Amino acid sequence: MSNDFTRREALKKLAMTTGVIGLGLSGVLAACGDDEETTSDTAAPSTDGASAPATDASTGGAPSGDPIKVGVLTDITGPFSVVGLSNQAIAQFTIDKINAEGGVLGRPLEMVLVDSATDPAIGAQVARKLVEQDKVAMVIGGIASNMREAIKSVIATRGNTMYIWPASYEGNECTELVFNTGQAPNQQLDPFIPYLLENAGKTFFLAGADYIYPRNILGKVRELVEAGGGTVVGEEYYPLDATDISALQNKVLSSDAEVLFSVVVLPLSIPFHKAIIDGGFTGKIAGTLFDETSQILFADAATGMLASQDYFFSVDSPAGTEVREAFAAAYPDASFSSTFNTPAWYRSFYLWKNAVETAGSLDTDAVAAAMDTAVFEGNPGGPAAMKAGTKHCSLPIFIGEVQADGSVKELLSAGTIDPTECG
Amino acid sequence: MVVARVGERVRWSTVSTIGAFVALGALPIGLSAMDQSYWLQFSTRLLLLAVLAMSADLVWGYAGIFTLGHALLFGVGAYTTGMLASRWGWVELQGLIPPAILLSGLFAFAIAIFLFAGSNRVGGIYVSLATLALAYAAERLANGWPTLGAANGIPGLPIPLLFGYQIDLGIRFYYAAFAVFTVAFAVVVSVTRSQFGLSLLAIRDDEERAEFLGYSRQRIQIAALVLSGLLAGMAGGMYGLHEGFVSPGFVGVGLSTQVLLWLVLGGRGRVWGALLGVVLLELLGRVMQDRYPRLWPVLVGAALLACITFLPDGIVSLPVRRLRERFRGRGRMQFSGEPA
Amino acid sequence: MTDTPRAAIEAVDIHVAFGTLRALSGVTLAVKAGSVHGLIGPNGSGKSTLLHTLAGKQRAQRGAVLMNGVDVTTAPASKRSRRGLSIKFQLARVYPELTVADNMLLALQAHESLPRLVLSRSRHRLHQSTLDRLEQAGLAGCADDKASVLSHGQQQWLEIAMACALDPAVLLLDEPTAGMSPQERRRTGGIIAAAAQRSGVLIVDHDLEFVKDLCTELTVLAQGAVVANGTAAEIEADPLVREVFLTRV
Repeated sequence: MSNDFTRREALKKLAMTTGVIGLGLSGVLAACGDDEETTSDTAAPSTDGASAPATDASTGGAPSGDPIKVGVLTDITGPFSVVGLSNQAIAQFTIDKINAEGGVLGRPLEMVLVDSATDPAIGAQVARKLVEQDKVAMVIGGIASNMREAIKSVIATRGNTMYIWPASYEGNECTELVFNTGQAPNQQLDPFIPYLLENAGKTFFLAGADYIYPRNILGKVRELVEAGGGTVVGEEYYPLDATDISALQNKVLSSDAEVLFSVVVLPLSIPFHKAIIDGGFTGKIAGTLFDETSQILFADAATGMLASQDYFFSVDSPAGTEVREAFAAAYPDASFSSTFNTPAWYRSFYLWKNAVETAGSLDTDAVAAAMDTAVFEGNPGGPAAMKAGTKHCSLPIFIGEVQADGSVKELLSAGTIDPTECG
Repeated sequence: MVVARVGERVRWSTVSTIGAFVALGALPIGLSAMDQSYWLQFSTRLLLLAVLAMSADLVWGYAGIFTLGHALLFGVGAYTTGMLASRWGWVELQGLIPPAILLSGLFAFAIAIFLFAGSNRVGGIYVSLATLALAYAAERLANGWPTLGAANGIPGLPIPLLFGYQIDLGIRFYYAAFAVFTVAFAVVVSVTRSQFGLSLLAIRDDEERAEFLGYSRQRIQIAALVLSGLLAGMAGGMYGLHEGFVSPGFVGVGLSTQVLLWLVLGGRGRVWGALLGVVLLELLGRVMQDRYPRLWPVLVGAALLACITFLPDGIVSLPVRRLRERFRGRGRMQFSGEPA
Repeated sequence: MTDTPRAAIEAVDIHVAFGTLRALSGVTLAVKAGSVHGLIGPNGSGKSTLLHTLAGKQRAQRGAVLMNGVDVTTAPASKRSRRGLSIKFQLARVYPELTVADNMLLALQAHESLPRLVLSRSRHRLHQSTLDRLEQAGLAGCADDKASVLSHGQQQWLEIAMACALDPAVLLLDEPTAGMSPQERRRTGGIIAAAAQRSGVLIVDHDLEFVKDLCTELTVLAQGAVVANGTAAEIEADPLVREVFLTRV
């Protein structure tokens, strides 16, 4: 006996097989899909603002109606999870705060959190889920630039959904529907380098990891140093996955530079900066990645480090202080520091809220148009405003010095610095 | 595939194959009707990854070469298409995909010469380690080379066109991927059923014996890897366009390992094992990720372990056994020769 | 001697050593086309080593292997096979997981070009030839069975048939009757005799009677050296040979 059979039987089997496989597959997938929907996918999902009656937001009354889903994408697991968990915390905090203040267009915000696991390939998949399945009104997130590059197509270009990138980065991000609320290189550097030339020294040694962010930053530093009459006595990069950085250390120590501009990143930044200090470096160490977390990372070596950020805890900003203290009380394990992008995440939600309420709806194009000039008075450190036509944000910039106790003392308030990206 | 004449006996394998293709072809219509755009795009991805798995199966399941770096050929295709699209502005599939196939084939040829040529037979473990090293080196290179976008990769790839017709994500791209899958499937079936397929098994099961029969081990292994590379490159090019970006992970050890897991789960040496493994593992992972955000890798790992223990030949071996019992036949399925 | 046809295969002063163990010391042997040449000797005399050297499995430290006058000493096994050398090993080495038909097909298609094999799309082209050969070997009824279900004797016949599939110029047989009954042995003798019509056959066997009947020429090896060479009658009469074969092995 063989397992062949006549044509008629074959056709019957064929029909059965097809039916079973096809129905089964569709059924399983649809069932999985249904489980994801928390609210019904009815005719008026999040993209239509006219659906539910809105409470007057200005009175701060409780928001009502269908929630507006906001996609929060960050690295909850993986090497960046420390930052990711902090991002999650500030997102939740801000959403809760906005809801307590009346929501957006009178409707509550609902966070849809996904974990990109510090892997761009996973990030792209979960971003797609946010856009296609949860149909969120906007997505905010990403820590490293390679994550942004992987997900922006899925969200903005193909998914036609707004994407807010709340991190200081290397610049050159001008994709439609992608809004950058972190610092662009010129914002951190334009006031910083002249200050260093005047107060720290004229000879600079530039050191950084070999990838796009340090290269862009240090390239700009060199421009500004030379334009300001200073000299670059050395510029060195090390491979990201190197295990030993002593060659770089030696070069710095034998250079006699007055300023070491460092974009050396974790994990080697810890032994590196310590070795520089232990090796008797007499100059100042400056960088774009220093803030209140520096003392935790570098211990004594951090004392005296010069930093340039959009916010320090010590800055005179009542709005900032109030938010920071409330956040610390609600989420004691998270960090409000600039290098964790926390102030940027916070202002992003409010800038977006401003855009949505200006547009009066959740229609992507209308909100994007309004986002072009969105403002947020309550930004920690001082008012923040999107610069028209750039998709980047004008920010208050401060120069500070890391103290022995880990705090950062403000040395200079540079005022609001406009971004020069995408102009 | 043999076309049945009236009264002529038709094989179960032919029926189920046609059935599966019809189901796959009807799937997007069903998903679209249920407004499941996410699952539609998910399925499209799976089809392309299944082609990658099938190409690896050619090398591992049929030729018996345990390759730890197969994603490299996939990634070469993806990067080729990515570079053409983003640096030169090409958008037509007919222009973007053939170079991806060609370049992957060339890479496969070069790698095969490096691994297999030479009269001294290199032991299997060394070949595997060499493929691992190649994938690792490629990932590092891609991570560091600014021309390829370094760590950021090549973002912002366009929606491709086919002779002017826009292949949007969703139903259209699904069918484009389905076409790729069908081509790959036809090639794999044709090759494995061919005389070449038999010689692959001969090399796999007893290399020395095959050489004494007169087969050139080098040529056959090189041919297998090149064929595999062509398919992987085709899948890679399409995949990059579907995702909208290309990144170093596309050539690396992580994805290469996943390919092996798909084959372990789905089954090697049987052409449907690849798709089965991809669907099961990706679907399982996706569902687990949502419900158990911290635990899911453990659960997926446990499922894999269970499968390896109880079904060492993969899931695809399951219906074969049951069918055999039911019909009490010898059941020559696709071809002679069980997987190693 | 100038009009003697070239040997189908010959070993010229072959020396093979494994470390300090000298397996073959200056062995010279010639197999004429169309003849059956027997290689006999006690265990450990180097018969298998010589066969392996002729086949390309073993490298000789000194000496040459010629096929029809062409030096193939450095050629790998697959090249020698394409020149017309076929070998059947001592242990049955069919592909147990493949069917009998596929095993035979493997032998029949072995010298086809790679593009031909890849583009063949199915295995039906040589189907009839495969069945014919199996018929000749008496195995046509088992064509679709896995080779592992064949009896030992049937596997040997399959292997011999596979070795003869492409009408090789040289056929090397290592213990073709091992484990066979007298009937099977007779049958095998017939197969080999038939093969000798087209090939030069070198056969290693322990069964002296079998070898005497079948072979036109015999070479006796002992401790890695040729002890005697000649027809069956000459060998039988040789007192040196009798000494070497004190105990029948």
